Amino acid sequence: MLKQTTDHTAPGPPAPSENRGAAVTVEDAVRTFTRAGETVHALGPVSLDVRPGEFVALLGPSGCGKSTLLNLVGGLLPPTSGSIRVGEEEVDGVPERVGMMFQQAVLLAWRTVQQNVLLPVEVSEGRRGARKAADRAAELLELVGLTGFADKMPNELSGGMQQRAAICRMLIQEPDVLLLDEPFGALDEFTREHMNVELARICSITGRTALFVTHSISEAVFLADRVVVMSARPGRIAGTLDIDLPKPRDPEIMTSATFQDHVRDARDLLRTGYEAAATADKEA
Amino acid sequence: MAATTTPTPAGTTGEPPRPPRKETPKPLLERVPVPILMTAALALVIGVWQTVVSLGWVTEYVMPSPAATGIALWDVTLDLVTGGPVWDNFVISALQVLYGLIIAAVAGVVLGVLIAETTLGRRVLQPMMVALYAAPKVALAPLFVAWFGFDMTPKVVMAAVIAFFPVMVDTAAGLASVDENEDKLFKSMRASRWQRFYKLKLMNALPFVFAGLKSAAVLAVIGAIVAEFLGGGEGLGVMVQMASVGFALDRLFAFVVLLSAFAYLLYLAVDIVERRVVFWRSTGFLPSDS
Repeated sequence: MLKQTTDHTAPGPPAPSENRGAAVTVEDAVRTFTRAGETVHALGPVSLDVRPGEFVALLGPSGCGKSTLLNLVGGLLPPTSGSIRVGEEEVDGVPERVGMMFQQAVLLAWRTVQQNVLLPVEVSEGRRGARKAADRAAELLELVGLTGFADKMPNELSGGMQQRAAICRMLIQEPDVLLLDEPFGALDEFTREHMNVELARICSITGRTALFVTHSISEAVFLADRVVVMSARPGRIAGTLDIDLPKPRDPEIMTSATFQDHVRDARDLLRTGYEAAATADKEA
Repeated sequence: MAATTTPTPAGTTGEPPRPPRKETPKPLLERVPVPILMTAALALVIGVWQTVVSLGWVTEYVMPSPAATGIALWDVTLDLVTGGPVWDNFVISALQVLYGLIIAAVAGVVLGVLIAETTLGRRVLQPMMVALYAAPKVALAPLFVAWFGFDMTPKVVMAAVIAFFPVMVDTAAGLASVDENEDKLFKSMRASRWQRFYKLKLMNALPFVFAGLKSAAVLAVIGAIVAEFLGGGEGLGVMVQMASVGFALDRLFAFVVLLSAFAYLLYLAVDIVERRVVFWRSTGFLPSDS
């Protein structure tokens, strides 16, 4: 990881063809929670294979366990049973090669934008390491269009700009796998669409594996190579859709017939999953 | 507060003339600037006070007139600024308060951290501290005098003991109030416990710590003065008591005003430091409205 960072001090973003993602393998993962003595079956068993460099959207209604699945892959939660691998390594605690982003930008209010972006480096390599990575931070800020905002405080930025800074923070250590938990869910629709285009661009430039949690059908279809539709109680995979739209994608593509077909397929899968969950509820 | 009134100037062209929107006038109390309101309120209180005394409803033994108090305040202030006995006693009281406040700040932060961050602190220290918090600490003053004698020490101890509780409680509360998302972020960065503590929790707790320090600044003054009442020696508290014994109530009032001003300035000083340290936000009077 460290070596990679130093190797990568060449100016400009990495070459587009470069495929630096890692595979993610989920095998029969189950997660239950115990609250007030009652056991809630939140997820699984779920199995999922994500190819290196693939962009997979996890689509499902609230409470279907998609965020739980993401937290399992990110090592923030251990699975109750089953196994998860990132690359060749079994996930036990947060893996080194993973970058995460959440619904909120979660920028620390007492740090400038640049200091926020460099926070992961500071945590793993100390202040000196962070100083060395300053150029890299500037490059990333340029990549997301935040040049000139490095020394601003987070509260001087709009919500969309804060999320851009969060993207930089996620990318600063050049992770192989990006875990995105509804990263633009708190933004207005216009900004959100714009940010999705940005994200797609960044992912295609950097060629990283991405797991993207969302409950927006069109967002999932627009971004992903593959949409994994989940159903609730307990969270399971209801079906998988391969999105064979060419990349890079322009928002215009949303009006195309193929796009609309994919959206319809995803909706059908969601509905069957929802009905199955409802009947399961009735029987219980 | 802004943006509620749409600024439509009278002469806007192109629109059909409409009856001008009636702006509901703000109530009188909203329009008058605060300093004028304060002065008016003070004048009212002094006026009533003077009337009550002038009409002889209360004797001047019990309640000195505002005029007499004003004169006493002038005398006392003059004595203070010219380096008379009031100055000497003020210096002693002020030092006691400052030492007490510093001890309270250090002890409060350290114990607050222990309570919030360690099992021993949470399970052993916290219940002990709650019990101590409930105790009327002023009643301990004679004990401190017995232990530490009649010089400055028992007063410093009293000031510290009374002042450190809000610092400790607010520090612990601030450390416990860490944002769930920020905590998750630090975990996702594989931050160590220590890094989570000093790069996140401590920074998050700072506004709370300062809220506690502001309370402590005022409480330290109370602690020192109460200890002077009971412990004697030197200090403004002793002068207050002498004034009281000598039925010089106008002088007593003057000392109270002086002490209030001192406590207020100390509070302001902490507030100024806070604005510099916690530059990204500031708390109000209470931690709850931060």
